[in-house]
Amino acid sequence: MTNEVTAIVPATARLVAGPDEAWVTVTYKEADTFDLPRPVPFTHGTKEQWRAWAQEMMRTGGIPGRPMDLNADLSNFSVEPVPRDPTHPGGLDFNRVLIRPKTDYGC
Amino acid sequence: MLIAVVGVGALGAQVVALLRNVRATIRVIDFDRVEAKNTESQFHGRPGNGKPKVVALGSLMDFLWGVKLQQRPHRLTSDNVRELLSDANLVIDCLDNAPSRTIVQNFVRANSVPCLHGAVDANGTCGRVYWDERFEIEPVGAPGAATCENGEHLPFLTVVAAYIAHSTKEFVAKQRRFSYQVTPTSTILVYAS
Repeated sequence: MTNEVTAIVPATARLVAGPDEAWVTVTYKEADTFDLPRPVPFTHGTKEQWRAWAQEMMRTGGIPGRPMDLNADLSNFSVEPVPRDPTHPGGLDFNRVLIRPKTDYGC
Repeated sequence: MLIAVVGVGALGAQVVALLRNVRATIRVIDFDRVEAKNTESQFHGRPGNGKPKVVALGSLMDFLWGVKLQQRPHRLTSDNVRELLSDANLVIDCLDNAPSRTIVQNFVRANSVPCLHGAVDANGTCGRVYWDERFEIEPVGAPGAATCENGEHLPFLTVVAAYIAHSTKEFVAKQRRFSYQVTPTSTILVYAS
């Protein structure tokens, strides 16, 4: 059965993010890192908005190749905006938002 | 060059092992002692049981590769941080708690000492290898919590340690600073300078 959203945005598609937009990369559970299928507002977005959008898309099955997860919960996750930095070799040429578990351990 | 590695548990001990051929003197700082369970999750062997981790690691590095470490079996505090870190050219933070990280961060920022932080989440799903200018301390959980228990996450912690060592070597050789987000299935180069 084809999910409607999947049909519109195949997992292999890669849109171009504008200078005021960002790709959102979510690291959720082990071996579960994925991008939201389309860019989000970066310059005028907030951490709370990015987190809410990502969580909503996870809960509604809006992420191609990823099953709907009604219990998806990003409330305790860190949200880090990473501005584009094309001036350095290896620097990103697009804005990015990283959503990931909090990391405070080093052992 | 003097590299100070603060915390030589699951991350720090692996980092030191991977830096065995770096052109620098390595100082290791940790107050803790090796317990039997540590040998499952850290670069510590059974002969080190009961010894201070810095002493056990120093013996192991010397025995395996003839590498001499500067050993400081102390708990890093705001009272001794200057004594322990003031002559370091690079600090590598592999601590397991936010208060100690804060002491390190305050010192390196006040004294413009390059500092690389290694941090992982409690479930072994995500790690960060970040240079200090981009590193925000995230105070959750309890010190020394279950990340290291029973060696469950040893392979992943070793991967994170490898990125710390790689970033360190890039800095030592070329003054480049790479910051990474690491997961068991992917790595993102987050910042480069």
